[in-house]
Amino acid sequence: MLEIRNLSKTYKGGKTAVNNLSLHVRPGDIYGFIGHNGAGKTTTLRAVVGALDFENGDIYIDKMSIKTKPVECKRIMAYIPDNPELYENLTGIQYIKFISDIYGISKKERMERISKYADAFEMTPNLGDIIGSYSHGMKQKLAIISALVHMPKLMVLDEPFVGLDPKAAYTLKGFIAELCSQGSAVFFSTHVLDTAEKLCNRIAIIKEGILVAEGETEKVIGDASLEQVFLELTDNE
Amino acid sequence: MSRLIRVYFLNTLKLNNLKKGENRGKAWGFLFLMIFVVFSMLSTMVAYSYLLGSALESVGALEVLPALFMTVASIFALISVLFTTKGILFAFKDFDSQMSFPISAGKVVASRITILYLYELIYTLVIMVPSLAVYAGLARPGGEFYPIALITLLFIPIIPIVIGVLLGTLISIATARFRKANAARIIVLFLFSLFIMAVSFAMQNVTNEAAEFLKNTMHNLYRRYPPVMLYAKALSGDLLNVFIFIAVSLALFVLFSLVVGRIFKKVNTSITAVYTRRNYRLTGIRESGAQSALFIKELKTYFGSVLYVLNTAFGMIILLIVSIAIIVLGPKGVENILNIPLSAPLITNVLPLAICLIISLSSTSAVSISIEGSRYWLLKTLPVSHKQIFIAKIGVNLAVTVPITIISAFLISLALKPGLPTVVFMFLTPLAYCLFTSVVGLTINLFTPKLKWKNEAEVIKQSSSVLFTMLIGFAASGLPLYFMFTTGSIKIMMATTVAVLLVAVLLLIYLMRYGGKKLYSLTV
Repeated sequence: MLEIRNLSKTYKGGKTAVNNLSLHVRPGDIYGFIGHNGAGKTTTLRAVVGALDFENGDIYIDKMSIKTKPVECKRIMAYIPDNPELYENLTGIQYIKFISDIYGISKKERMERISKYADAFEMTPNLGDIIGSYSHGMKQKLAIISALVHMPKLMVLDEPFVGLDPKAAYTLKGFIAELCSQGSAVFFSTHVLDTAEKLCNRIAIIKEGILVAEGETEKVIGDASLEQVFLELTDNE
Repeated sequence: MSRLIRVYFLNTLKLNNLKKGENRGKAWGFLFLMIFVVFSMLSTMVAYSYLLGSALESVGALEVLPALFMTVASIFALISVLFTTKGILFAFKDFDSQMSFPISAGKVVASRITILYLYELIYTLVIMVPSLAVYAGLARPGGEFYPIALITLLFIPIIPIVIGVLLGTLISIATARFRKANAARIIVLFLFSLFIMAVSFAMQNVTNEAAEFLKNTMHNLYRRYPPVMLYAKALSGDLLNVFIFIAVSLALFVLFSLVVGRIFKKVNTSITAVYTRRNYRLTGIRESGAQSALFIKELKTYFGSVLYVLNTAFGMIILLIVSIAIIVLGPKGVENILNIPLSAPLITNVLPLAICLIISLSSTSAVSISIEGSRYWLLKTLPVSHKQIFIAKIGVNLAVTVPITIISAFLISLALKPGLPTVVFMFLTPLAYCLFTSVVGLTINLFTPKLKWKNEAEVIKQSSSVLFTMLIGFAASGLPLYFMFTTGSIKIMMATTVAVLLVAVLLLIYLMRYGGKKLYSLTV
């Protein structure tokens, strides 16, 4: 579903954020991407969704390159950044309608899905209000609902559990599992190691732009906890 | 307090970029552009001051020249403050973090008032210094004029700021209670600006003799806005009036600061309050195509910003009002109000280009990329092509300009009954300019975007993209207008229309073919 091949990204000024990174997310995978602040997680995620140019390597979404077929790749993907800034002057429902129109979701499907996801996140009564009146968590819920409305084959999330209340975080985990059980894949960054350990079937750990561990969760952590493995891999030189 | 002001200007004007960083060249380029613009404005003001000064001298009323420019500076400051109170003084983005600092709320208030004052002082200096210099050159006043002029300069913006903040705040609080708060603010602010313009035009009816009417107007104004009289008397060397002018301004400023300090938090809460109902029920949602969804999103972004609408649509709405007035009042009625002989063949023939001048100053697309700001990630990750994005952005400018252009061209042609060629150009040339300003504005914004901003005024009023677009638009319509006016040759209109269309089409082809690379390379 997602294949990153030898990705490198150097920002103007010479800072290498990601160095020769390769990984593979298969259909059905819930793939956790872990690293310190500034390790290169967001850079990788933004390159995957076509929000950031990169000079070396390539990224394939469902065997299509994000470089040569960006629109086709984006059509089967959804991205939710860590701080989802949305169109503040639109109401929640207008925003979901906008996303549904862009992704060509039929009237029947969008009605069913909005009803399902907005109710689950307890957002339905707020959908008529403008996004400018929403709290950070509500904006995040709205971004998640609008991403789920088009049932992406690949969902990319940057720190999805930060800002969500415990119930919403629990609901999101359920929908992630449901989406992946239908053959989609979820690739997300997180600092919540406990959640990653329980939720993800695969994990990658990145340090200073370089992948230091990658594979099935059980194999990566072995008999230890993810926290121990992470600290060992990222703190030891 | 000084640190808060310093940080504001360091951040807003990106002063650190001048010293280091990857955008150093761009920052210096922008600084030089600003210096060029200020010099151009100063020289224009010198020319205006000299023309007016000479005219006033001929009717023995040279002494009203500084007071006249003081009035202009005050009106400018008043309107400017009216639009920027929300954003600079109240409801600024880092309000929460500043109020959480271990400094008194009074210092935060004082820093915001000083920022507002410094902005208005710059505009005041640009307007006043040339006129005072010309006045000094023509009137040869005594030595006391110079220190008085210099000191009083600093106090000119104070009273308009106080009035502007008061009105701006009242409008913001009153309209925040409406569900359609932005629409209400647009209407109220527009009507208020229209009222100021109407009063200015009404004053012109005193007499047709330009200098004489200015003299009479100023004497009328002395009664209606006493600070002008105080200022005029102060400049004549009357020390008592110097004292009163400064004392009144200072007292108002102190009182104003104290009042604002007391109500600062309360007003911020009222202004930022958003109407919510929390009673939505999902009933039915319409379905539309991606292109139309993008266009509607652009329209909602546009009409969602009071400043954006007023800054770009004001000229077009005035054009529509004047066109309707020509039909309702008849050409003679409008001629009497505007003091322009519209039905004279020379004027009628250049009207298409005059409409173009208004269109050129109304480019919504010059802001359309920058206004995305922190939401730019959405545009980059949506499964739409750059062509669809550009068409939606150009579409908004066309939606704002084209209908009004067609209606105005029709009404003006109907009322003034010019010859067939002028009627044809009354439609053709302005429509070509609608496309031209849309495409030029978008191209300039694509290459000079400002995606990191805290207050939308930074991109709508103070960005290089808007400045470049206005300068190009002004040159593209002002120059042919001048040549058409001096020669009266219809060939100029023809050549201008073809040239403008050609540039627009070439730029459009460029944007559609190569613009995507630039669009997707931009980062916040």
